[in-house]
Amino acid sequence: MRAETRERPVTAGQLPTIGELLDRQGVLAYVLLLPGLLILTAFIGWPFVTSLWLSVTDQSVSTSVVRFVGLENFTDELRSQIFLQTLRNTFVYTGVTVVFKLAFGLGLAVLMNQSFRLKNLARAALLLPWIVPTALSAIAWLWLFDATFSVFNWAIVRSGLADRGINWLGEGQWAMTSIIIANIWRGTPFFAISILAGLQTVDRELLDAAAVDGASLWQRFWRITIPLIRPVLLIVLLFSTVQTISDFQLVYVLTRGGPANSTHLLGTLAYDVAVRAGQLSQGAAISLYMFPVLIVCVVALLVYMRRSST
Amino acid sequence: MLRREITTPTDRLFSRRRFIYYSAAFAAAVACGPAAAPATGAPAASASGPVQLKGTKLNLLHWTSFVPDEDKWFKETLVNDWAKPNGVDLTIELVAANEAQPKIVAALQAGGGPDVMLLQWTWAHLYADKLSDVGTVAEKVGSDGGGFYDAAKQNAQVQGVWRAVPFGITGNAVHYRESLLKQAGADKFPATWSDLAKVGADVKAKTKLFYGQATGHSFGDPPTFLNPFLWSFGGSETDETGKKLAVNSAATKDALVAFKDLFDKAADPQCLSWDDSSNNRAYAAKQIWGTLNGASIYLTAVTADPDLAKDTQLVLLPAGPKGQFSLGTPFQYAIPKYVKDPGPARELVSYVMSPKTYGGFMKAGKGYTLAPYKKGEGELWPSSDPKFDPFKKIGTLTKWYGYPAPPSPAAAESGSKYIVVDMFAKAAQGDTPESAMSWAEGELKKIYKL
Repeated sequence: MRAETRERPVTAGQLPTIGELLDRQGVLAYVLLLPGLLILTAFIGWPFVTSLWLSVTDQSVSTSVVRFVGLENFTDELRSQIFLQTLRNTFVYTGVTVVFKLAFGLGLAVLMNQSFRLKNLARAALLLPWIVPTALSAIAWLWLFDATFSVFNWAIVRSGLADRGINWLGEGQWAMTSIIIANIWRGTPFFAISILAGLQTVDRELLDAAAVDGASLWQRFWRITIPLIRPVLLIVLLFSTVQTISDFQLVYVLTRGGPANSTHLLGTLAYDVAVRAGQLSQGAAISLYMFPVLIVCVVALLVYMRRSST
Repeated sequence: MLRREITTPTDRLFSRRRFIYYSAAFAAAVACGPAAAPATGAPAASASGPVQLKGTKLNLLHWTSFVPDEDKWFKETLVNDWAKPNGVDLTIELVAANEAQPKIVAALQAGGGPDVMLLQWTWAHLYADKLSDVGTVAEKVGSDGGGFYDAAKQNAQVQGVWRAVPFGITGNAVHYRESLLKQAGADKFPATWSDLAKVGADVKAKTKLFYGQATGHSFGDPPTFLNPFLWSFGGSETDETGKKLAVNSAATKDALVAFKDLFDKAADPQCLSWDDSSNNRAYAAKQIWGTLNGASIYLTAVTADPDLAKDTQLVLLPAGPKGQFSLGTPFQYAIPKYVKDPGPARELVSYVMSPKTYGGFMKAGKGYTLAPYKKGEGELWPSSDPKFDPFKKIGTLTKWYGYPAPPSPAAAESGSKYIVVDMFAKAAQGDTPESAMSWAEGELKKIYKL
């Protein structure tokens, strides 16, 4: 392609045209970044700053005049048993599900990394729980755990394991177990596929060399594979922790935080308080209790990524 | 100074610069489009003259009724009989009862949304500052309808100002299967809670079916069963003034003990997870012998399972030591302050609530939603089915969140947080009454700021 070169004189003090400005890489970079920045500012930055402001005021849906109350909303919540129970629930839910998702995801990824017939179909099927919208899959789980029509209970009773089924969503501990099961089901594919991608980067020659040197299967996995996929594991763990701690849909559809608040998470309680009860400031304060945990995750992630890149 | 430009023929056709120009122009066009479009809003209503409806756009936010014919009435009859003849472009948005509140809060906070919204419970007290005074409409509707029931008025009137117009009450009655009751040796439904525990235990022993009552986090059945239960023992969240907590009391303890007894003997632990539709499904599937619900269970059975309908009887809740209580689910129409010209919205509410129109609506819904005024149980009564008669008493009998104190934002907040429901659920799960009461007191202290 032939390039034309034109030159035109620019007198001193003359303002550059828009076209000339866009030809400067520094300017163009910001122009291209602008849409993304605007979207992030409008849909994440602004709501976040608003929630920070809300959390230090006494705004509710019923008030027109707003007062600054400092950290009162945060300290008030610490006196609420519902909030303390919710905090415990959130940590139990996040801790247990992330551990199980990691274990199952790792197992599935190792399995999917083997050669077998219909491997591609199996890999595609593996992603289904992750692809299906959470609200839809949660409704399916609702029926599976339904007090009257649970297929699990039908199987338990028909197989003679028990005279009556389990009260899945009606008893505090079983309700927590139920939402944990549903979350593990939904989140495991994310771990499995991410770890599978990591496994496929592991150099087979390293594993073969270790095998020749007499390393057992377990030793090869633990001493070679795991260290090599550690970056992937860490990133997946952090992402999953962030997503799980702020979970909402699953609990909202399955239990709405009941029975007697035994499955409330910070997200669902914040929703109940802010939207249903109209206490916007309290709801904002509750949701911001997630922030320290999330910020630790994000900082850890950024530090790790920076170290990896250097 | 020389500036140098390097261009290619392709650049001239679609250079990155042009791409950005075009993108910016397109974005500007999209952003300005709606604002630049000519306004099609309602013509301003004259303060002195009649409201001009022709060409008006109205958006009505309504709940999705458990009786589909009620929704049909709004979508077809209201549109054909009122909107079209008046030249009103009426949009009716139906949302599930549990999903209505987020929409309403979002609209009120954003300052834009539906022109008329259907509130539930005591929400008018929660959102009072953001709702227009609809006194003229409410007074006329009340007077034409033979006077509002006390609860309907209490829920809609905030410190003497009508912040909403009462729309209706979804009455609740115990639906029970007569044949199963008779199998257990009882000839009629128990009149007191203690008798219900005894009879319920007998039916359970004889038929393996239980009395199924939702006690989970859901808007209707759990509070409409448990609040009257508490009141019927003399318990309440606060005293009559609403200035002093009263939940930690001997009366509440009695209620919790009685509920635990009833729950253990006659109900089933799975009820702790039930929402408003769980008991409907369980009753239709003949998994339970009795439950408190709106008439939707019976009305559905009439067409879907006539034998079940024939065997079903309806009765109001049993009484406790302090009497018989009821808590129907109340609804009200509110017009937010952000509606610049509330005239057409008021016209719409006036039309729907006029006894003549409302009578047609009640007939379409077969009496599922009861009128908030006294003509509803008289000349407008839509059902010739004697089984429906208990519903005639609901309007008079029903109380409100926060009873015996007047409704308040705190009482509404407590209801939204399921404090009474969870107090009973805790007792049913095995907490001591003292522990459940103390928990509720702690939460109520925070809510009522006492």
